[in-house]
Amino acid sequence: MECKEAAHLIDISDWKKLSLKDKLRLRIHNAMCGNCRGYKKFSHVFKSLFGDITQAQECLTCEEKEEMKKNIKS
Amino acid sequence: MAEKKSDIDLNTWVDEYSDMLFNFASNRVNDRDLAKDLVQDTFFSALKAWDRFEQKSTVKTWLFSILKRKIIDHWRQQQSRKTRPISQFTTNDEDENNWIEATTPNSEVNETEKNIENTELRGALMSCIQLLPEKQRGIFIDKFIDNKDSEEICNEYEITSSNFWVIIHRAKIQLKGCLDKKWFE
Repeated sequence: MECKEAAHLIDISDWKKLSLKDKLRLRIHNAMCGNCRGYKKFSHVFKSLFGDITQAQECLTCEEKEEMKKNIKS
Repeated sequence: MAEKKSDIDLNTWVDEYSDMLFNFASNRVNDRDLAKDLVQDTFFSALKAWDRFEQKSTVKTWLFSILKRKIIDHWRQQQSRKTRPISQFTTNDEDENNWIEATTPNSEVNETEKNIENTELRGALMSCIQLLPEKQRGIFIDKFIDNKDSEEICNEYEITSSNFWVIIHRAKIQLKGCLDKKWFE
């Protein structure tokens, strides 16, 4: 497996389970490749950052909503 | 039964949909006031276009589609204001052999989880996302922030699955480079 394919599998694995075959191939590749191991770690941390973002949902205040209603009507 | 123009209760629209629309816009423009203005414009445009709304979709879907167009218009205006491309975001397709250097994380990135202050990091990350090219930005936000299904995104943007993953990969690498500059340096 080349690094490019390994990176592709790492990207996919953030979102869905890899097949057993791909998992093993990736594991074997990563055992020999520090860069791809690093990319896997980075990718995992990166994905988790977005979990924090999506949890921090913002809302409009009641005043802002009232102001918006007024502005649209005017 | 279809609502008539006179039946529209603007107050209900704002109460029901403004938070959803605001969140959607806020994640895409990274500016609270601008997001608020976009939502307001969306309601305004929807009111004006209500007669033409065929009610094939729900009001919610329709409002989101109006907002999406407004966000894309905003991105395009932003893009046209740029005098030159940002070098860190240029992608050289011929440079495929160098991808591995670009993807090698530095130690700070691995420490991220421990050290981040969410609000500031969110700001940095969102401003980095704003620097992605328009299409890449839309695809990335749909996947990472809205958690949309990859297949749905591919259909929406009319791209193949392999194209989609290449775009996601490039966006990640570009964002890492941007975060290294904005956050870690």
